[in-house]
Amino acid sequence: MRAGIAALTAIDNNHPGSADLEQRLLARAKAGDSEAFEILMVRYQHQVLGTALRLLGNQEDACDAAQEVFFRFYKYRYTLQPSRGISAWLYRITLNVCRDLLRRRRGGSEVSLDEKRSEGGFAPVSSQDLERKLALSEDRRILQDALATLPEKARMALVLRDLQGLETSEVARILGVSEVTVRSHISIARVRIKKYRDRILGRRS
Amino acid sequence: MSCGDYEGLIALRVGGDLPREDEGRLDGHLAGCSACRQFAQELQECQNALMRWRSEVPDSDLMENVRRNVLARIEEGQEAIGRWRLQLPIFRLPLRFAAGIAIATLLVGSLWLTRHRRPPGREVQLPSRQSAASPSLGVPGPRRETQTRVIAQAQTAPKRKVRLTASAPGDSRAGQPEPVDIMEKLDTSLQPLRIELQTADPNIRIIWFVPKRSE
Repeated sequence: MRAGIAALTAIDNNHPGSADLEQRLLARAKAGDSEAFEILMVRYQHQVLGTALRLLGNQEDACDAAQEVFFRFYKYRYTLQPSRGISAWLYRITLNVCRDLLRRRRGGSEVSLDEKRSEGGFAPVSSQDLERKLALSEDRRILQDALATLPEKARMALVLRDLQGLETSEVARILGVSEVTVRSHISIARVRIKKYRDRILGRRS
Repeated sequence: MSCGDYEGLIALRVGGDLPREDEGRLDGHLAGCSACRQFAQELQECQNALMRWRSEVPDSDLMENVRRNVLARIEEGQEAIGRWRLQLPIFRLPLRFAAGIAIATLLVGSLWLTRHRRPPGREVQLPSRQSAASPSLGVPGPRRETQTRVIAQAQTAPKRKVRLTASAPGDSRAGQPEPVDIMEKLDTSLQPLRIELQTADPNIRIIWFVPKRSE
């Protein structure tokens, strides 16, 4: 099974047969094949966990969110139409779960950003240069903090467009808004992030 | 438009999202505004930082933990469903209780069915009927001047035949009418077979439709 997973994860979305393979995996997962479901999880774990980490800013919440997303994927796999694409569906679930988690966090006890923030959950930078490593890590922390200051819709639009690399049309479809609205959100988000970063760096310099 | 208005357009340009129709307008402004050119440069650096963050992937141990927890939760859920399936969903009764209820339901149902079954020889005396026999029975009606008691006797034979007997009140054997098997006279092409039973209460009549089964 491990060899199968390795082989399948090596097939990226640009591979001509990947869509067909995905549909077959989904059909098997619907029939109760847990191995097929695990392969799909491996295929989309970057997407789901990466989005959750960037939206929530801490490892613990992001893991909880990712687990919830995949559990819902398993629970509602029968309703999924392969023609509509698993990726967009998973993005929508991820956004909903993260939104709910953030609202619960705000509605519960006030936890400061410093207390909740962890090292982000991303793989360590492979650079040998320690200074560069620290700079990248610090930059990521500043950007993560800047993201937290954004309005919800703008934050989601920016994460999907700039951090997950989706096209504007895909972002619009996932968020359920027009492309003009998406461009408006990301325009506001980029300007605010830039100004926040300037303030932080400006203080430090 | 002021410089503040161009900030949004600059933000779109650095990410490759600026509509083509706004390109010329922005280029014209940037050519004459050094502050906006500086703003564009800083915004581009910020965008580059976002791109570096984009290239980072989640930690592999973290991803494996997530997968493991999800599979464990699914397995736990399936065990719970398995336990649930052994019990009635609504009342959560153990299997023995469920079996007992099912058997009791079958008994009650069979008792109810046997109540409608007439044992051989037991007849229901019906009041005389002066009207023509029900057309649905396909039985030629008795002569109007003859008072006829229609005695219906239902049999629960597999073919669900209905045995009809007729007797006249003046018959010396009125108390014990001689049954005449008139099954062959029934128009079996009619569907369904309709049987009317008049109870002792004149206001209550039981109408029974017997579906015709193909031979």
